[in-house]
This record gives sequence, C-alpha cells and structure tokens, in this order.
Amino acid sequence: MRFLCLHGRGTSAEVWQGLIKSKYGGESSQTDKKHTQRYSRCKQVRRARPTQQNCRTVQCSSFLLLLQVGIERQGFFTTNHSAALQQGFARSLWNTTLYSSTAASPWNHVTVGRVARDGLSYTKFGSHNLRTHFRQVQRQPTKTSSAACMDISPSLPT
Amino acid sequence: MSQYQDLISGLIETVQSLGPFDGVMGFSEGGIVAATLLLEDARRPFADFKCGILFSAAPPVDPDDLGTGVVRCLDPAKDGVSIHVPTAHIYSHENDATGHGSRAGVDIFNVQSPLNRLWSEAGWGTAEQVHNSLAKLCSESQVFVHAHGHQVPGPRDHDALRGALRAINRTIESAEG
Repeated sequence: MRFLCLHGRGTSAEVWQGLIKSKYGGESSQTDKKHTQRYSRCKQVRRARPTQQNCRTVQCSSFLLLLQVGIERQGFFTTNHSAALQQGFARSLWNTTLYSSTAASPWNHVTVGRVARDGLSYTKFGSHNLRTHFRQVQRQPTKTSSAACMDISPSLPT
Repeated sequence: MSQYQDLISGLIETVQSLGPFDGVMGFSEGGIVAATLLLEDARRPFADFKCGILFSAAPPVDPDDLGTGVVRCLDPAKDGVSIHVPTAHIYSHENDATGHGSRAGVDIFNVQSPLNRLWSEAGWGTAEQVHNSLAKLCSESQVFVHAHGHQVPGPRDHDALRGALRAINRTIESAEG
C-alpha cells in the first residue's frame, strides 16, 4: 500500500480561515490568527512510499513504523517544518530527511535537512528543487535504515 | 472559497502527478482534507483510492455546495453514506492535546478550530459527535477510540497503539479484498 499523508492543522488552517471569513465576515479570533501565523502557507504533505515488503513487515508491528520506513525512503515533506516537528510525528523520525518550504510555490524550491534525534529540530543541508530531488531519490532510493525503527519496535505488540 | 478549491485542485494534481496512491491518510485537519479527497474521489473519480486512515478527523466541507456558495460540513443525517471505501477512524473523546485534564463529552468549543461554527450548525457539540459523524459518512468504518486527546497513539501506550493498528490493519485487509 502506498499512501498520501497529510499532516494536521498546518495543512489548511489558512484555507479554513478563509472559508469561515468568507461566510461570516469580520475578523477571525485571536486564536485563529495565531494558528494562521504559526502554520501559514501550509498546504501539504508528507508522503510515505514503503515497498510492499516493507509495508507487510511493518504492518505487523507498527503503523508508525510503516510511516517511518516509507519516510526514510522518500523523506518527510512539509511546507512548514516547525509545525511538523511540533506535532510530534517527527519525534519518531529522527535522522530522517526533512523537506521544508515556506515559499509560495512549495513544490519547487525547498530546503532539505535532517531531523535531530530529539525530533524537535533539524539541520538544514541546502536548497533543492523538490521535483528534481524526488526524481533523483526514485532513481537511487536510499537504503532504509533500521536504527530508528529499532528504537521502538522490540517491545511493540505484534 | 477559492483557497479551498485551490487546495483540492492542487492535491488532485499532486495525486495524479506523484501517484498512484492506494490510500490517503491524515491527522486533524489533514484528516479532514483526506476525507475530502475520498469524497471527491467517490463523486468524481480521479485516484481510485482503496482506503483511508483518518486520525482525529472530522467531516469534510461539501465541495459541491461550496461551488454554489454554501459552506457546510457533510452531515450523515442529511447526506447519508458518502464515502464508499474502507476507512479507519482513530480518535479520542478528549479534546485536550495531551489527553489530560479533559473528559469525554467535553464541549467541542474547547477545540481551537475555525470549523467550530460549522460543527455547531450541524448540531455537534462534542468531539465524539464530530469524529463519529465522519465515521457514519463512511460505508465501512473501523473505529478505535483512545484516551490521548488530539494525538496519534504512539509507543508510550501499547494498548492504544495496538488498538489503532488493529483498526488500520482491518481497513487495509478489507481494501485488499
């Protein structure tokens, strides 16, 4: 199974706020403003692309690991790395590649970094064109590391 | 409205250009958008999604009504079953992001969401009602309720993780036929 994955809040806060304002008019609440500021420009996406074999293996132990395996192969894409890191997903994704952008065209120019072990920060490597980068990744898939999986898998129910 | 339509059209383009995808999954508002994609795929097929995994999600805004200027959430009482692929619904009745200091049935307006007014219009006053309404919109729902608030169950609570995995596995197995 191959999934398109959408992370929370930042995915569409701006969109929803625009919707509500279009219906009700007026200013949004202070809370909404904070959300919009905090998660502005987020529309997308992180995507997991496990192989069938990986998927099968991981399904037995942890869905989160399924995500992890997929993400380690393809990277973790978000238009707002701060939101993604704060949401806790990334805490199990340390040492994975993080694609991040705050540009108006999120699919084009992105920064690429690596999630720190604390899951709360990342090290920026540089900027890439995402489409080009994904094509490169697909041609030369990175070897899946088991290190992060081992972090939690032994004690999980099967 | 144009922002919303831009979002949906952008995601459809993404799915078509980077797909195929077997399923879609999402958390919170990402779950709402994921449900919107499943709904769109049911009405105007573009991806042939086989299943959906939805964490702490809520019913989507009706894209057809939106085209006529009406903003409302899909409501199982009015719209019936609208998503026809297997789905997993993993959520908590607690609103608190930590799962602490809150309780089942707590007022949904403690949730900081710009969709509160739409939920209120639909008559949903609790997190349980919001999440459960989405499950009722789906023809084949696997529901797992945990006690960790607005989060995805993780390795700190094996029971919750096991329950979530069970719902996900059943959904995937059902999708694989």
